[in-house]
Amino acid sequence: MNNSVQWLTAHWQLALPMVLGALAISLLMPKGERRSRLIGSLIGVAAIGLLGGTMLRPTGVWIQDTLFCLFSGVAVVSAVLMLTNRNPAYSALWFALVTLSVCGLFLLQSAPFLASATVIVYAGAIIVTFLFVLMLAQQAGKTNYDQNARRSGVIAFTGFVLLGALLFAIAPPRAVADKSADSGEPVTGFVSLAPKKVEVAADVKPAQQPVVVRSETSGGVMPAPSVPVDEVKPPQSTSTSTPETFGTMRGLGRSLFGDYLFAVELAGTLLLVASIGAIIIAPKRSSGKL
Amino acid sequence: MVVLTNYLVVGSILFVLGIIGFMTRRNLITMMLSAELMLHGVSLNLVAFSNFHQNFQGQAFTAFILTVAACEAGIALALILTLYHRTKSLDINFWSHLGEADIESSHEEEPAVPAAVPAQEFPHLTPAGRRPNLVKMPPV
Repeated sequence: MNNSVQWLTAHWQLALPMVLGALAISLLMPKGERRSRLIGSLIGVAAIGLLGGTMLRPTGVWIQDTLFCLFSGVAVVSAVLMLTNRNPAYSALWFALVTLSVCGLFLLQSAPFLASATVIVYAGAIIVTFLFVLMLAQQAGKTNYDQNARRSGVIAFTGFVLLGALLFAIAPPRAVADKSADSGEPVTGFVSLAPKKVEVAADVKPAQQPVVVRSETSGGVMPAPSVPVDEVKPPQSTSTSTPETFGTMRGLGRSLFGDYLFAVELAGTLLLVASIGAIIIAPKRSSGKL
Repeated sequence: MVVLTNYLVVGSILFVLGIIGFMTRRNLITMMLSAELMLHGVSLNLVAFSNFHQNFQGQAFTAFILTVAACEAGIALALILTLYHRTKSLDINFWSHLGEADIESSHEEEPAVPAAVPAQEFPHLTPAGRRPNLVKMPPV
């Protein structure tokens, strides 16, 4: 008990945004009659700001940082609005905004094909289908099940405990990492991903060993597991994935139709089977009209 | 310099928000949207790792996630239509009796139905001109 209190006070930068976030979500969830959402929104903004201030590390390129903050902020805020909206049609529209911001993040991560494909598939097809179904199936007026969420407090608390565990494994807050880096003790993290540097071996043929990833420093705080993370070699690939072709559509096409040819064929079959299944499952006109 | 953790943080936030929405909301369609939100979190992680390792494996996985999401949305919406056809409601609580008989139902006693909300007053213009002949319209 005492230990856990000590741990929480040492990691308040991680624990406080989680508590605030759970509180904000449970306050914002629809419950009974409509009430003011001001307090929940303020707490939620505080949680997001605190989390962003302690978790995110700047890259040094200001345009990248600005775009990242813009897209991720819009994504998280509209995701919360999607969850807490009382009208499912507005939820679908907020989800479209989440999709667009995630596509912006895809672009920042040099995945232009995936960004455009996601816009087409999600915003163009899935959202429209959802709205069609809403128009077919939504009852007129306000429905009881949209106005009352199930056990929002407990579930928000559980979810944010999971988020806290994930964030602790991914990236310890900056102050903790700095402290451990200053003290000079060799902390290799459980997943020491944070400040790795990608080096390309110059004289290696691209077909054999394209990229050598070498971790220089690490940002974790947990004691080292037995597996060293000094050199991580990506698995061999038949297509060339040198950094020159990375991010191009040509390289992704070579990868999809070279390494993953059978999987692509399987995905096509899956689409066919799913469309046939959807036609069979959907209610027919003869069995009653919607 | 590639900063991977920022993207992992955003991806896990989206994933957890999707979990919370899937478990709290009772509308079938909002639950499906929350599941798609979880998929977004996962694909953001995969794309970030793909950029981090400078190879295409993460992006190829994300392309497959996109395929599976499209299939899932189609089948789930067909199922939702069928369920709506049976109960005339999108409430998930109507299907909470599908479990074993001796297991306690998770159905929560919901608070009383909020009183009938008075219809919203919209501003309206005073009618002008000739009233259209509505009697001869064919029955819809």
